[in-house]
Amino acid sequence: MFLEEVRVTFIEPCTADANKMRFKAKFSRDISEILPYLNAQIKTAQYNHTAGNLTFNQGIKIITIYSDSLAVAKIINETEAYEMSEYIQDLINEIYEKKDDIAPLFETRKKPSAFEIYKYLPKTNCRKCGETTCLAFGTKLVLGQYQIEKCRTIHEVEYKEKLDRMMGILNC
Amino acid sequence: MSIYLDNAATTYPKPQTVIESMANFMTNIGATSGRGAYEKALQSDMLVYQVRKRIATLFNFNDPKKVIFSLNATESLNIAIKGILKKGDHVITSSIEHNAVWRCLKTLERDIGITISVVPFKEIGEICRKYNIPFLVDAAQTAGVFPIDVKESNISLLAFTGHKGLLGPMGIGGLVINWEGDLNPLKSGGTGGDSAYEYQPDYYPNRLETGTLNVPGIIGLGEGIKYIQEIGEDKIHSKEKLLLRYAFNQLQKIKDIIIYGPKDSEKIIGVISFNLKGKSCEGVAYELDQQFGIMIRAGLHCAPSAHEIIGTKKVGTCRIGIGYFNEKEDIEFLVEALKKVNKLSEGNC
Repeated sequence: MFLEEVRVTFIEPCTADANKMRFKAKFSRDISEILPYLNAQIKTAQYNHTAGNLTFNQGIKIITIYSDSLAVAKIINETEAYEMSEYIQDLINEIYEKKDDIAPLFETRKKPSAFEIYKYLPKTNCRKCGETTCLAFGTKLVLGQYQIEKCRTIHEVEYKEKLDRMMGILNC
Repeated sequence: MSIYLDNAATTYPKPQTVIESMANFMTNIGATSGRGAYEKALQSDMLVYQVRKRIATLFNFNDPKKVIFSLNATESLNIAIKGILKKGDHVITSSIEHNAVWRCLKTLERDIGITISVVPFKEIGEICRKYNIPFLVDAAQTAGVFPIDVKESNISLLAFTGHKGLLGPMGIGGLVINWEGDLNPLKSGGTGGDSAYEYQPDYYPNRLETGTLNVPGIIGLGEGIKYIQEIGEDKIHSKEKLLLRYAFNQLQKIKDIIIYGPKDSEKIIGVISFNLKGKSCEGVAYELDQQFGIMIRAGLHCAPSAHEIIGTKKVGTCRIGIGYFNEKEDIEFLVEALKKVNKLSEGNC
Protein backbone atom coordinates (compact mmCIF):
# COMPACT_ATOMS: atom_id res chain seq x y z
CA MET A 1 0.00 0.00 0.00
CA PHE A 2 1.38 3.42 -0.98
CA LEU A 3 0.07 5.29 2.08
CA GLU A 4 -0.10 2.98 5.09
CA GLU A 5 -1.45 5.34 7.72
CA VAL A 6 -3.16 8.69 8.24
CA ARG A 7 -2.84 9.37 11.95
CA VAL A 8 -5.02 12.03 13.58
CA THR A 9 -2.79 14.21 15.77
CA PHE A 10 -4.93 17.20 16.69
CA ILE A 11 -8.65 18.00 17.05
CA GLU A 12 -10.11 21.31 18.20
CA PRO A 13 -13.26 23.44 17.79
CA CYS A 14 -13.28 25.60 14.63
CA THR A 15 -12.47 29.23 15.35
CA ALA A 16 -15.08 30.43 12.85
CA ASP A 17 -17.87 28.11 13.95
CA ALA A 18 -17.96 26.75 17.52
CA ASN A 19 -20.42 23.99 16.52
CA LYS A 20 -17.87 22.50 14.16
CA MET A 21 -14.44 21.00 14.66
CA ARG A 22 -11.25 20.79 12.68
CA PHE A 23 -8.44 18.30 12.79
CA LYS A 24 -4.93 17.63 11.57
CA ALA A 25 -3.45 14.27 10.66
CA LYS A 26 0.01 13.06 9.69
CA PHE A 27 0.81 10.82 6.74
CA SER A 28 3.12 7.85 7.27
CA ARG A 29 5.09 8.95 4.16
CA ASP A 30 5.63 11.91 1.84
CA ILE A 31 2.94 12.05 -0.84
CA SER A 32 4.11 15.14 -2.83
CA GLU A 33 4.43 13.09 -6.03
CA ILE A 34 0.68 12.34 -5.93
CA LEU A 35 -0.51 15.93 -5.48
CA PRO A 36 -0.50 16.83 -9.23
CA TYR A 37 -2.51 13.67 -9.95
CA LEU A 38 -5.01 14.57 -7.22
CA ASN A 39 -5.21 18.04 -8.75
CA ALA A 40 -6.03 16.52 -12.13
CA GLN A 41 -8.74 14.30 -10.71
CA ILE A 42 -10.44 16.68 -8.24
CA LYS A 43 -11.95 19.24 -10.58
CA THR A 44 -12.74 21.77 -7.87
CA ALA A 45 -9.30 21.59 -6.22
CA GLN A 46 -6.96 24.56 -5.83
CA TYR A 47 -3.37 23.35 -6.08
CA ASN A 48 -0.22 25.29 -5.31
CA HIS A 49 2.71 23.33 -6.72
CA THR A 50 5.39 25.59 -5.21
CA ALA A 51 3.93 25.51 -1.72
CA GLY A 52 2.98 21.83 -2.11
CA ASN A 53 -0.63 21.92 -1.00
CA LEU A 54 -4.03 21.17 -2.46
CA THR A 55 -7.38 22.39 -1.12
CA PHE A 56 -10.90 21.37 -1.99
CA ASN A 57 -14.37 21.36 -0.47
CA GLN A 58 -16.64 18.47 0.27
CA GLY A 59 -20.03 19.82 1.33
CA ILE A 60 -19.14 22.40 3.96
CA LYS A 61 -15.87 20.67 4.84
CA ILE A 62 -12.62 22.31 3.71
CA ILE A 63 -9.89 19.77 3.06
CA THR A 64 -6.22 20.66 2.61
CA ILE A 65 -3.69 18.01 1.68
CA TYR A 66 0.04 18.76 2.22
CA SER A 67 2.98 16.56 1.31
CA ASP A 68 3.16 15.06 4.79
CA SER A 69 -0.16 15.88 6.42
CA LEU A 70 -3.85 16.66 6.18
CA ALA A 71 -6.02 19.43 7.65
CA VAL A 72 -9.82 19.36 7.57
CA ALA A 73 -12.12 22.11 8.85
CA LYS A 74 -15.86 22.08 9.59
CA ILE A 75 -16.34 18.47 10.62
CA ILE A 76 -19.02 17.70 13.21
CA ASN A 77 -17.27 15.34 15.61
CA GLU A 78 -14.35 12.97 16.27
CA THR A 79 -16.03 10.14 14.40
CA GLU A 80 -16.10 12.24 11.28
CA ALA A 81 -12.39 13.03 11.75
CA TYR A 82 -11.53 9.35 11.55
CA GLU A 83 -13.96 8.79 8.73
CA MET A 84 -12.35 11.62 6.73
CA SER A 85 -8.82 10.36 7.47
CA GLU A 86 -9.76 7.00 6.03
CA TYR A 87 -11.45 8.59 3.07
CA ILE A 88 -8.35 10.64 2.22
CA GLN A 89 -6.08 7.61 2.71
CA ASP A 90 -8.25 5.58 0.31
CA LEU A 91 -8.36 8.48 -2.17
CA ILE A 92 -4.57 8.89 -2.21
CA ASN A 93 -4.01 5.15 -2.57
CA GLU A 94 -6.59 4.93 -5.35
CA ILE A 95 -4.99 7.81 -7.27
CA TYR A 96 -1.55 6.25 -6.78
CA GLU A 97 -2.82 2.98 -8.29
CA LYS A 98 -4.28 4.80 -11.29
CA LYS A 99 -1.56 7.39 -11.77
CA ASP A 100 -0.21 5.91 -15.01
CA ASP A 101 -3.58 6.61 -16.62
CA ILE A 102 -3.83 10.19 -15.34
CA ALA A 103 -2.13 13.22 -16.85
CA PRO A 104 -0.73 15.19 -13.89
CA LEU A 105 -1.76 18.83 -13.61
CA PHE A 106 0.87 21.12 -12.10
CA GLU A 107 -0.87 24.45 -12.64
CA THR A 108 -3.27 26.19 -10.32
CA ARG A 109 -6.73 25.88 -11.80
CA LYS A 110 -8.41 29.18 -12.61
CA LYS A 111 -11.42 29.44 -10.37
CA PRO A 112 -14.58 30.73 -12.08
CA SER A 113 -16.13 33.75 -10.37
CA ALA A 114 -19.61 33.61 -8.87
CA PHE A 115 -20.76 36.09 -11.51
CA GLU A 116 -19.42 33.90 -14.33
CA ILE A 117 -21.34 30.96 -12.88
CA TYR A 118 -24.45 33.09 -12.43
CA LYS A 119 -24.50 33.88 -16.15
CA TYR A 120 -25.34 30.24 -16.89
CA LEU A 121 -27.79 29.59 -14.04
CA PRO A 122 -31.53 29.74 -14.93
CA LYS A 123 -31.96 33.07 -13.00
CA THR A 124 -35.51 32.06 -12.01
CA ASN A 125 -34.81 32.31 -8.25
CA CYS A 126 -37.05 29.21 -7.90
CA ARG A 127 -35.62 28.41 -4.44
CA LYS A 128 -35.77 24.66 -5.08
CA CYS A 129 -32.12 24.44 -4.00
CA GLY A 130 -32.91 26.02 -0.63
CA GLU A 131 -31.32 29.38 -1.47
CA THR A 132 -33.39 32.53 -2.03
CA THR A 133 -31.58 33.56 -5.23
CA CYS A 134 -29.61 31.97 -8.06
CA LEU A 135 -26.71 34.30 -7.22
CA ALA A 136 -26.56 32.94 -3.66
CA PHE A 137 -26.57 29.40 -5.09
CA GLY A 138 -23.84 30.32 -7.59
CA THR A 139 -21.63 31.73 -4.82
CA LYS A 140 -21.84 28.47 -2.88
CA LEU A 141 -21.38 26.41 -6.05
CA VAL A 142 -18.06 28.18 -6.66
CA LEU A 143 -16.99 27.48 -3.10
CA GLY A 144 -17.75 23.78 -3.58
CA GLN A 145 -20.49 23.82 -0.96
CA TYR A 146 -23.05 22.70 -3.54
CA GLN A 147 -22.93 20.43 -6.56
CA ILE A 148 -24.68 21.50 -9.77
CA GLU A 149 -27.06 18.52 -9.34
CA LYS A 150 -28.76 20.51 -6.56
CA CYS A 151 -30.15 22.98 -9.15
CA ARG A 152 -33.19 21.10 -10.42
CA THR A 153 -34.26 23.80 -12.85
CA ILE A 154 -31.05 23.79 -14.90
CA HIS A 155 -31.58 20.10 -15.53
CA GLU A 156 -34.87 20.80 -17.34
CA VAL A 157 -34.74 20.38 -21.14
CA GLU A 158 -35.02 24.08 -21.96
CA TYR A 159 -31.80 24.84 -20.05
CA LYS A 160 -29.75 22.08 -21.66
CA GLU A 161 -27.41 24.50 -23.40
CA LYS A 162 -26.77 26.42 -20.17
CA LEU A 163 -26.15 23.17 -18.33
CA ASP A 164 -23.57 22.09 -20.91
CA ARG A 165 -21.74 25.41 -20.62
CA MET A 166 -21.90 25.21 -16.85
CA MET A 167 -20.45 21.69 -16.86
CA GLY A 168 -17.62 22.99 -19.01
CA ILE A 169 -16.86 25.84 -16.62
CA LEU A 170 -16.98 23.54 -13.63
CA ASN A 171 -14.82 20.95 -15.38
CA CYS A 172 -17.39 18.26 -14.61
CA MET B 1 -13.98 -30.34 35.48
CA SER B 2 -16.74 -27.97 34.48
CA ILE B 3 -18.92 -27.63 31.43
CA TYR B 4 -20.49 -24.33 30.52
CA LEU B 5 -23.83 -24.64 28.73
CA ASP B 6 -25.35 -21.24 29.44
CA ASN B 7 -24.10 -19.44 26.34
CA ALA B 8 -27.49 -17.90 25.63
CA ALA B 9 -27.10 -15.92 28.88
CA THR B 10 -23.51 -14.96 28.12
CA THR B 11 -20.81 -16.66 26.10
CA TYR B 12 -17.91 -18.21 27.96
CA PRO B 13 -14.99 -18.56 27.58
CA LYS B 14 -14.00 -15.48 25.59
CA PRO B 15 -11.24 -15.52 22.98
CA GLN B 16 -7.89 -14.72 24.60
CA THR B 17 -7.44 -11.78 22.21
CA VAL B 18 -10.52 -10.11 23.76
CA ILE B 19 -8.99 -10.25 27.21
CA GLU B 20 -5.53 -9.21 26.04
CA SER B 21 -6.79 -6.23 24.03
CA MET B 22 -8.68 -4.87 27.04
CA ALA B 23 -5.73 -5.36 29.38
CA ASN B 24 -3.41 -3.77 26.83
CA PHE B 25 -5.65 -0.71 26.52
CA MET B 26 -5.95 -0.29 30.28
CA THR B 27 -2.23 -0.80 30.81
CA ASN B 28 -0.76 1.17 27.94
CA ILE B 29 -3.30 3.73 26.72
CA GLY B 30 -6.02 4.21 29.30
CA ALA B 31 -7.21 7.63 28.07
CA THR B 32 -10.85 8.51 27.55
CA SER B 33 -12.27 8.88 24.07
CA GLY B 34 -13.58 12.23 22.78
CA ARG B 35 -12.24 14.16 25.76
CA GLY B 36 -8.56 14.85 25.24
CA ALA B 37 -6.21 16.78 22.97
CA TYR B 38 -3.19 14.55 23.61
CA GLU B 39 -1.97 11.62 21.59
CA LYS B 40 -3.26 8.83 23.84
CA ALA B 41 -6.77 10.30 23.88
CA LEU B 42 -6.67 10.45 20.09
CA GLN B 43 -5.48 6.83 20.02
CA SER B 44 -8.48 5.97 22.17
CA ASP B 45 -10.77 7.83 19.72
CA MET B 46 -9.25 5.96 16.82
CA LEU B 47 -9.76 2.56 18.48
CA VAL B 48 -13.41 3.40 19.20
CA TYR B 49 -13.91 4.50 15.59
CA GLN B 50 -12.38 1.26 14.29
CA VAL B 51 -14.86 -0.79 16.32
CA ARG B 52 -17.79 1.33 15.08
CA LYS B 53 -16.63 0.57 11.57
CA ARG B 54 -16.18 -3.12 12.28
CA ILE B 55 -19.74 -3.33 13.63
CA ALA B 56 -21.08 -1.46 10.61
CA THR B 57 -19.30 -3.92 8.29
CA LEU B 58 -20.60 -6.92 10.25
CA PHE B 59 -24.20 -5.81 9.73
CA ASN B 60 -23.66 -4.52 6.16
CA PHE B 61 -24.23 -0.92 7.16
CA ASN B 62 -22.30 2.02 5.73
CA ASP B 63 -22.39 4.80 8.32
CA PRO B 64 -20.17 4.22 11.40
CA LYS B 65 -21.44 7.50 12.93
CA LYS B 66 -24.82 5.85 13.39
CA VAL B 67 -23.43 2.88 15.29
CA ILE B 68 -24.17 3.88 18.89
CA PHE B 69 -22.57 2.27 21.93
CA SER B 70 -24.68 1.39 24.97
CA LEU B 71 -24.52 -0.88 28.00
CA ASN B 72 -26.29 -3.83 26.41
CA ALA B 73 -29.20 -4.80 24.15
CA THR B 74 -31.69 -3.81 26.86
CA GLU B 75 -30.40 -0.25 26.95
CA SER B 76 -30.36 -0.09 23.15
CA LEU B 77 -33.96 -1.28 23.00
CA ASN B 78 -34.93 1.35 25.60
CA ILE B 79 -33.13 4.07 23.60
CA ALA B 80 -34.99 3.05 20.44
CA ILE B 81 -38.45 2.39 21.90
CA LYS B 82 -38.58 5.34 24.31
CA GLY B 83 -36.81 7.63 21.84
CA ILE B 84 -39.35 7.08 19.10
CA LEU B 85 -42.75 6.37 20.63
CA LYS B 86 -45.15 9.19 21.50
CA LYS B 87 -48.61 9.28 22.98
CA GLY B 88 -51.16 7.62 20.70
CA ASP B 89 -48.60 5.63 18.70
CA HIS B 90 -49.35 2.05 17.71
CA VAL B 91 -46.73 -0.69 18.02
CA ILE B 92 -46.69 -4.09 16.36
CA THR B 93 -44.65 -6.69 18.21
CA SER B 94 -44.19 -10.46 18.30
CA SER B 95 -45.55 -12.89 20.87
CA ILE B 96 -42.14 -14.10 22.00
CA GLU B 97 -40.46 -10.91 23.17
CA HIS B 98 -37.89 -10.73 25.96
CA ASN B 99 -38.74 -8.45 28.87
CA ALA B 100 -36.29 -5.89 27.46
CA VAL B 101 -38.92 -5.21 24.79
CA TRP B 102 -42.10 -6.29 26.53
CA ARG B 103 -41.66 -4.32 29.79
CA CYS B 104 -40.64 -1.22 27.79
CA LEU B 105 -43.84 -1.41 25.76
CA LYS B 106 -46.12 -2.21 28.71
CA THR B 107 -44.64 0.69 30.69
CA LEU B 108 -45.27 3.14 27.83
CA GLU B 109 -48.77 1.71 27.36
CA ARG B 110 -49.50 2.47 31.02
CA ASP B 111 -47.64 5.79 31.32
CA ILE B 112 -48.15 7.65 28.05
CA GLY B 113 -50.84 5.67 26.25
CA ILE B 114 -49.58 3.70 23.28
CA THR B 115 -51.37 0.70 21.81
CA ILE B 116 -49.71 -2.69 21.29
CA SER B 117 -50.70 -5.35 18.75
CA VAL B 118 -49.17 -8.81 18.85
CA VAL B 119 -48.73 -10.41 15.43
CA PRO B 120 -46.81 -13.44 14.14
CA PHE B 121 -43.11 -12.74 14.10
CA LYS B 122 -42.57 -13.38 10.38
CA GLU B 123 -45.13 -10.77 9.31
CA ILE B 124 -43.59 -7.83 11.17
CA GLY B 125 -40.76 -7.17 8.71
CA GLU B 126 -43.14 -7.44 5.76
CA ILE B 127 -45.69 -5.05 7.31
CA CYS B 128 -42.94 -2.52 8.11
CA ARG B 129 -41.54 -2.72 4.60
CA LYS B 130 -44.98 -2.34 3.00
CA TYR B 131 -46.08 0.66 5.07
CA ASN B 132 -42.66 2.26 5.65
CA ILE B 133 -42.82 1.82 9.44
CA PRO B 134 -39.57 1.95 11.47
CA PHE B 135 -38.54 -1.66 12.10
CA LEU B 136 -36.65 -2.40 15.33
CA VAL B 137 -34.94 -5.78 15.65
CA ASP B 138 -33.63 -7.25 18.91
CA ALA B 139 -30.49 -9.13 17.87
CA ALA B 140 -29.34 -9.98 21.40
CA GLN B 141 -29.28 -13.72 20.64
CA THR B 142 -28.51 -13.64 16.94
CA ALA B 143 -25.70 -11.11 16.38
CA GLY B 144 -22.50 -13.05 15.78
CA VAL B 145 -24.10 -16.47 15.28
CA PHE B 146 -26.37 -15.66 12.37
CA PRO B 147 -25.52 -13.27 9.51
CA ILE B 148 -27.57 -10.05 9.77
CA ASP B 149 -27.86 -7.61 6.87
CA VAL B 150 -29.65 -4.39 7.87
CA LYS B 151 -30.14 -3.31 4.26
CA GLU B 152 -31.42 -6.57 2.84
CA SER B 153 -33.72 -7.16 5.82
CA ASN B 154 -34.95 -3.55 5.78
CA ILE B 155 -33.98 -3.11 9.45
CA SER B 156 -34.31 0.49 10.68
CA LEU B 157 -32.88 -0.07 14.16
CA LEU B 158 -30.79 -3.03 15.26
CA ALA B 159 -30.18 -3.52 18.99
CA PHE B 160 -27.36 -5.87 20.00
CA THR B 161 -25.29 -6.82 23.00
CA GLY B 162 -21.56 -7.47 23.05
CA HIS B 163 -21.29 -10.31 25.55
CA LYS B 164 -23.27 -13.05 23.82
CA GLY B 165 -22.65 -14.19 20.24
CA LEU B 166 -20.22 -11.34 19.57
CA LEU B 167 -17.87 -12.84 22.21
CA GLY B 168 -17.07 -9.50 23.87
CA PRO B 169 -17.22 -8.53 27.54
CA MET B 170 -20.34 -7.69 29.55
CA GLY B 171 -21.42 -4.05 29.82
CA ILE B 172 -21.12 -3.15 26.15
CA GLY B 173 -23.80 -3.21 23.48
CA GLY B 174 -25.10 -0.97 20.77
CA LEU B 175 -27.71 0.27 18.40
CA VAL B 176 -27.37 0.56 14.62
CA ILE B 177 -29.55 3.39 13.29
CA ASN B 178 -30.45 2.87 9.64
CA TRP B 179 -33.28 5.39 9.90
CA GLU B 180 -33.66 9.10 9.22
CA GLY B 181 -36.48 9.86 11.70
CA ASP B 182 -36.13 11.67 15.01
CA LEU B 183 -34.83 9.70 17.99
CA ASN B 184 -35.22 11.63 21.22
CA PRO B 185 -32.21 10.96 23.51
CA LEU B 186 -32.91 8.89 26.62
CA LYS B 187 -30.07 10.59 28.52
CA SER B 188 -28.53 14.05 28.60
CA GLY B 189 -24.98 14.97 29.55
CA GLY B 190 -21.47 15.66 28.35
CA THR B 191 -20.39 14.66 24.87
CA GLY B 192 -16.84 16.04 24.83
CA GLY B 193 -17.17 18.72 22.16
CA ASP B 194 -19.65 21.56 21.68
CA SER B 195 -19.91 21.99 25.46
CA ALA B 196 -21.32 25.54 25.41
CA TYR B 197 -24.54 24.29 23.75
CA GLU B 198 -27.15 23.58 26.46
CA TYR B 199 -28.85 20.56 24.90
CA GLN B 200 -27.84 17.25 23.38
CA PRO B 201 -26.29 17.76 19.94
CA ASP B 202 -28.38 16.63 16.97
CA TYR B 203 -25.54 14.73 15.25
CA TYR B 204 -24.57 11.10 15.72
CA PRO B 205 -23.14 9.29 17.61
CA ASN B 206 -22.95 12.10 20.21
CA ARG B 207 -26.73 12.62 20.26
CA LEU B 208 -27.26 9.26 21.93
CA GLU B 209 -23.88 8.67 23.59
CA THR B 210 -23.36 10.73 26.68
CA GLY B 211 -20.88 10.38 29.53
CA THR B 212 -17.57 8.55 29.32
CA LEU B 213 -17.64 5.59 26.97
CA ASN B 214 -16.71 2.07 28.08
CA VAL B 215 -13.58 2.11 25.93
CA PRO B 216 -12.07 -1.16 27.27
CA GLY B 217 -15.44 -2.82 26.63
CA ILE B 218 -15.63 -1.39 23.12
CA ILE B 219 -12.11 -2.62 22.35
CA GLY B 220 -12.90 -6.09 23.73
CA LEU B 221 -16.06 -6.18 21.64
CA GLY B 222 -14.05 -5.19 18.56
CA GLU B 223 -11.67 -8.12 19.16
CA GLY B 224 -14.62 -10.48 19.68
CA ILE B 225 -16.06 -9.46 16.31
CA LYS B 226 -12.64 -9.71 14.69
CA TYR B 227 -12.37 -13.28 15.98
CA ILE B 228 -15.80 -14.09 14.50
CA GLN B 229 -14.94 -12.47 11.16
CA GLU B 230 -11.70 -14.41 10.95
CA ILE B 231 -13.47 -17.72 11.54
CA GLY B 232 -16.59 -16.74 9.58
CA GLU B 233 -20.14 -16.44 10.85
CA ASP B 234 -21.19 -19.33 8.60
CA LYS B 235 -18.63 -21.64 10.15
CA ILE B 236 -19.69 -20.65 13.68
CA HIS B 237 -23.35 -21.11 12.80
CA SER B 238 -22.67 -24.54 11.22
CA LYS B 239 -20.73 -25.82 14.23
CA GLU B 240 -23.44 -24.68 16.64
CA LYS B 241 -26.12 -26.20 14.41
CA LEU B 242 -24.32 -29.55 14.32
CA LEU B 243 -23.96 -29.57 18.10
CA LEU B 244 -27.58 -28.59 18.48
CA ARG B 245 -28.77 -31.39 16.21
CA TYR B 246 -26.62 -33.85 18.12
CA ALA B 247 -27.99 -32.57 21.43
CA PHE B 248 -31.59 -32.94 20.19
CA ASN B 249 -30.98 -36.52 19.15
CA GLN B 250 -29.25 -37.48 22.37
CA LEU B 251 -31.61 -35.66 24.75
CA GLN B 252 -34.62 -37.33 23.16
CA LYS B 253 -33.23 -40.70 24.27
CA ILE B 254 -33.58 -39.72 27.94
CA LYS B 255 -36.56 -41.26 29.66
CA ASP B 256 -39.26 -38.83 30.79
CA ILE B 257 -37.74 -35.78 29.12
CA ILE B 258 -40.01 -33.09 27.66
CA ILE B 259 -38.33 -30.94 25.00
CA TYR B 260 -40.04 -27.65 24.11
CA GLY B 261 -40.09 -25.56 20.96
CA PRO B 262 -39.15 -26.52 17.39
CA LYS B 263 -37.08 -29.71 17.12
CA ASP B 264 -35.48 -28.53 13.92
CA SER B 265 -31.97 -27.13 14.39
CA GLU B 266 -32.51 -24.95 11.29
CA LYS B 267 -35.23 -23.02 13.06
CA ILE B 268 -33.50 -22.10 16.30
CA ILE B 269 -30.28 -20.51 17.45
CA GLY B 270 -28.26 -22.46 19.99
CA VAL B 271 -30.84 -23.15 22.73
CA ILE B 272 -32.86 -26.15 23.85
CA SER B 273 -35.47 -25.92 26.59
CA PHE B 274 -36.55 -29.05 28.43
CA ASN B 275 -37.85 -30.50 31.68
CA LEU B 276 -37.55 -33.87 33.34
CA LYS B 277 -41.01 -35.14 34.29
CA GLY B 278 -41.71 -34.79 38.00
CA LYS B 279 -38.66 -32.65 38.68
CA SER B 280 -38.33 -28.89 39.05
CA CYS B 281 -36.05 -27.15 36.59
CA GLU B 282 -34.20 -25.39 39.40
CA GLY B 283 -33.60 -28.75 41.11
CA VAL B 284 -32.23 -30.31 37.92
CA ALA B 285 -29.92 -27.34 37.33
CA TYR B 286 -28.71 -27.52 40.92
CA GLU B 287 -27.88 -31.24 40.70
CA LEU B 288 -26.13 -30.81 37.36
CA ASP B 289 -23.97 -28.06 38.83
CA GLN B 290 -23.20 -29.59 42.20
CA GLN B 291 -22.69 -33.20 41.16
CA PHE B 292 -21.38 -32.87 37.62
CA GLY B 293 -20.04 -29.33 37.21
CA ILE B 294 -22.47 -28.60 34.36
CA MET B 295 -23.83 -25.07 34.20
CA ILE B 296 -27.27 -24.57 32.63
CA ARG B 297 -30.06 -22.01 33.05
CA ALA B 298 -33.38 -22.67 34.85
CA GLY B 299 -36.56 -20.59 35.08
CA LEU B 300 -38.39 -18.24 32.71
CA HIS B 301 -35.22 -16.68 31.19
CA CYS B 302 -36.76 -13.16 31.22
CA ALA B 303 -39.23 -14.21 28.51
CA PRO B 304 -42.57 -14.99 30.22
CA SER B 305 -44.59 -14.63 27.00
CA ALA B 306 -42.54 -17.36 25.31
CA HIS B 307 -43.24 -19.64 28.28
CA GLU B 308 -46.93 -18.80 28.07
CA ILE B 309 -46.92 -20.17 24.51
CA ILE B 310 -45.17 -23.44 25.39
CA GLY B 311 -47.23 -23.81 28.59
CA THR B 312 -44.39 -23.54 31.10
CA LYS B 313 -45.05 -20.07 32.57
CA LYS B 314 -45.65 -21.52 36.04
CA VAL B 315 -42.88 -24.09 36.17
CA GLY B 316 -40.18 -22.69 33.89
CA THR B 317 -37.72 -24.91 32.00
CA CYS B 318 -34.13 -26.03 31.97
CA ARG B 319 -32.29 -24.36 29.10
CA ILE B 320 -28.98 -25.24 27.54
CA GLY B 321 -27.26 -22.58 25.47
CA ILE B 322 -24.67 -23.99 23.08
CA GLY B 323 -21.70 -21.86 22.09
CA TYR B 324 -18.85 -22.01 19.60
CA PHE B 325 -16.47 -23.31 22.25
CA ASN B 326 -18.66 -26.28 23.21
CA GLU B 327 -17.78 -29.74 21.89
CA LYS B 328 -19.69 -32.98 21.30
CA GLU B 329 -18.21 -34.42 24.52
CA ASP B 330 -19.95 -31.69 26.53
CA ILE B 331 -23.31 -32.88 25.23
CA GLU B 332 -22.44 -36.54 25.87
CA PHE B 333 -21.49 -35.66 29.44
CA LEU B 334 -24.72 -33.68 29.92
CA VAL B 335 -26.87 -36.56 28.66
CA GLU B 336 -25.17 -39.05 30.99
CA ALA B 337 -25.56 -36.65 33.90
CA LEU B 338 -29.27 -36.09 33.13
CA LYS B 339 -29.84 -39.85 33.09
CA LYS B 340 -28.33 -40.02 36.56
CA VAL B 341 -30.33 -37.02 37.80
CA ASN B 342 -33.45 -38.72 36.44
CA LYS B 343 -32.86 -41.64 38.75
CA LEU B 344 -32.69 -39.44 41.86
CA SER B 345 -35.76 -39.59 44.04
CA GLU B 346 -38.13 -36.62 43.71
CA GLY B 347 -37.22 -35.21 47.09
CA ASN B 348 -33.65 -34.73 45.91
CA CYS B 349 -34.67 -32.78 42.87
